[in-house]
Amino acid sequence: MKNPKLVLSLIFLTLTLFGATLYAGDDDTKKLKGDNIQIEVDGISCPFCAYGLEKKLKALDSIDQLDIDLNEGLIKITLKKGKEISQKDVKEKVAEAGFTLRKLIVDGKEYEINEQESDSK
Amino acid sequence: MNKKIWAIKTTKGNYLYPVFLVLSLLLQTQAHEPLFGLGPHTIYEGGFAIESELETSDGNPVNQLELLYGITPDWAITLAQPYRIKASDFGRITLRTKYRFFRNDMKGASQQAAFHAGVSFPESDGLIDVADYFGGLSFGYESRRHYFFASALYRINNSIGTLQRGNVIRYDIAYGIRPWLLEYLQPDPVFLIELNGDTIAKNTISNTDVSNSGGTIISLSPGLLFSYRNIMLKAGVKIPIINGLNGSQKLPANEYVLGLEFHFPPIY
Repeated sequence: MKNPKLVLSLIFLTLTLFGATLYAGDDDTKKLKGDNIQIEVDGISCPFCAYGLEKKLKALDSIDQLDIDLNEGLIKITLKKGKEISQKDVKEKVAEAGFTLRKLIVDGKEYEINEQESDSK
Repeated sequence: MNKKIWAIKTTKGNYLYPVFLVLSLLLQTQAHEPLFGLGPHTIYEGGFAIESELETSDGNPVNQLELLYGITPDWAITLAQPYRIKASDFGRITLRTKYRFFRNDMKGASQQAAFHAGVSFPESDGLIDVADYFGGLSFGYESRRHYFFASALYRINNSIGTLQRGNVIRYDIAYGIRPWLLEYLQPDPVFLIELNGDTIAKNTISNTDVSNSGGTIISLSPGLLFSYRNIMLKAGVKIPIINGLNGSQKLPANEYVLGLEFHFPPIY
């Protein structure tokens, strides 16, 4: 082998990136619990369209109630007792409704959403 | 001349009537979209919408029943069946599809663009025994306060016997405004104003142009969309204002639309 250091560096880099990808995937599906869950959704401009979003989110077993603020694009989520929710679940439902999830906030902690994954364009 | 051509000739409008009939019946709106033009709106994945519209076409009342299904959030398919009230018979079934190929969501707003395609099947009584096709593009910007739409469509009308109906180009722009920014669980009125253009090629019979056929009509169309939860009431009138029709054709009568759209299954 002509340059073992280079090969080792490449292996290290590959493993690091692979590990980071796995970690990101885990984080996405990680179950979240909280009393104050809010999501910011882009693209909501009318209540008639937001109805579809409400319908999709309420299809999640863990969601008890939703409070939609159209002017802010903000949705407050109340979970059923003892239930949890993952970023992936929310992201999928928002995409199925034809909107874009921008932010997930659980008890004040913000979870930035990967645009490529959340965008259904 | 055969019976089919006679039927079209004796209809008011010198061959225009069948063209307007099929046009008006295939451009039904969905959600917050122009009433007489096209829009890029789709429905959520797995969602259904049923719509009943009472409208006039060349002064004749028609009830149109539509069923729309959201295959994906960006791809919808619609089956439409008109019923001509005076004649007590069913018109041509139309199958339409819309694919939203572009969407840029922003806070409280969205830009969207969609492809449209469809087919109007032959009539059950055989009056128009050929299928016609259309394809189009639409663009829309919608926000909490304002709506802007633009669309264009090309329709290929096939020949019936020796009558070749002229193909049609449609082009529409529309503006909508939501005067009151109400909350999610409140009724939501939106006012629309549209400018609709139709340019129709001349009909031909045995390859000879029919002089009193085809031309261009520009219409102004005010409308109202009033929604609450998953129900939307729509009303509008299309008023022809500029007559660029060939020969001595008169402008067609105003078209009126009154519709009710319902998205289901509802939230329980």
